Amino acid sequence: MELATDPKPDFLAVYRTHAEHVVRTARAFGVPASEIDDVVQEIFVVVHRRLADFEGRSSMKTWVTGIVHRVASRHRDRIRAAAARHDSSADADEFPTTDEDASKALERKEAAATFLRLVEQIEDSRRDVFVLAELEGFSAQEIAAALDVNVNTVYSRLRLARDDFEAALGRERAKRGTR
Amino acid sequence: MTDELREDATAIVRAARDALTPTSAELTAHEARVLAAIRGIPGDAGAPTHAESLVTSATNTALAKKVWLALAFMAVGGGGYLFGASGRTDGRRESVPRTSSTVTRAEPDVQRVPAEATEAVAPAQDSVSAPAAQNMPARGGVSFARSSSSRSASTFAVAPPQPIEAPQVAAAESRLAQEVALVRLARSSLQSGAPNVALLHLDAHVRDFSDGVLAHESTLLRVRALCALGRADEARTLAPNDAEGAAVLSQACTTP
Repeated sequence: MELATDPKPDFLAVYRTHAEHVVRTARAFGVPASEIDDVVQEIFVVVHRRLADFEGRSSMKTWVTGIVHRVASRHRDRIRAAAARHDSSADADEFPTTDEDASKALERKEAAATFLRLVEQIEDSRRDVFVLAELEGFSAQEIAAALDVNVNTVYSRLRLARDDFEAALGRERAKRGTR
Repeated sequence: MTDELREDATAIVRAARDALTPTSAELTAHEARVLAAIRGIPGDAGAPTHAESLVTSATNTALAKKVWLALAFMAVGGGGYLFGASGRTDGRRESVPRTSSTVTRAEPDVQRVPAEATEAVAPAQDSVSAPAAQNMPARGGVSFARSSSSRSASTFAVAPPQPIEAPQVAAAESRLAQEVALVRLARSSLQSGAPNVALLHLDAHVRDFSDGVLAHESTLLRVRALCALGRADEARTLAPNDAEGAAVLSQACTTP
């Protein structure tokens, strides 16, 4: 069959090239910290499974991102369904103990939490475009390939998502101001 | 892109990018988990080099035996699978210490396993590595047990033989491993020219893993199988409406 003769891309090389992007993107797509281990594992099991099918039609980066998107979206849906059943915070992160690093870690955590809180207010299909464009620096063409939508759709979603993000930021500031 | 984010919004994105970027320790832990998961799954067409270099795993569980038996009977994929099988079924073969990072980095103690699987193998599990697996986002049981905390990834190379079967057994029994095994059987059947058998496996996959992580791959395989059986219309109806679906259709439904 056609797969047998192709040289296989080395899985570990793929992992090491893309892991950072995968973890960050999965989080930004809405996978909580408490589940990121499992989700990253799932994503790379799929990547590993399908590596032989990778045909170079797209770049490895957009191909992997497509897988991240599919797996993360499923988790996002599942989490929301669970949250609808009982209202508990899905992401009860433990705070670091009284290390020297504690305040730095807290800062990091707050930066991440703020961003996640804001993108959470953007409708999913726009949010995903926003994450890839703004957080990951993807071009519109790359986003189109990864999410399997056309480039004009990418542009319009991104424009709307930016408005949404800024509006959410405005609301957040207003809320803090009144406190 | 025409518009741009306002400066304050950009600052938040930038800070978030730093904050959401995993540390190298976290990446190494993820890598160990990922490799352990893959190792827990019998030799895979996706990365034959790993399947071979990671032959040290001991998947001597009932499930793994079933999977191997099925594989042996089907004689799929030629020597690769059978080689893997013979290397594994004897269970306790240990790794020779070697400098290959692929093996030593993959110490699977940090792997997450489903509760039921953990219970099943609890007696065999190392009392040190078990809690480590739960709580430590570090490199896992091996470095933990040897209380060496600050080696860089590249020097984390030579490890003595370790009795590491428990987590792998757990991995083999995980739902993910079962799903992967099933889809792999389907793919192997297809590759060895038995699309009708592949369809049976895919039916089982749909039945047991309707929300499975490999649902998309399963559908693509089904499209291939239908094409191979000359059922092009069904294949076209079923093919995902995306680039991959189109690629599979054009490839599998036109070539004889």
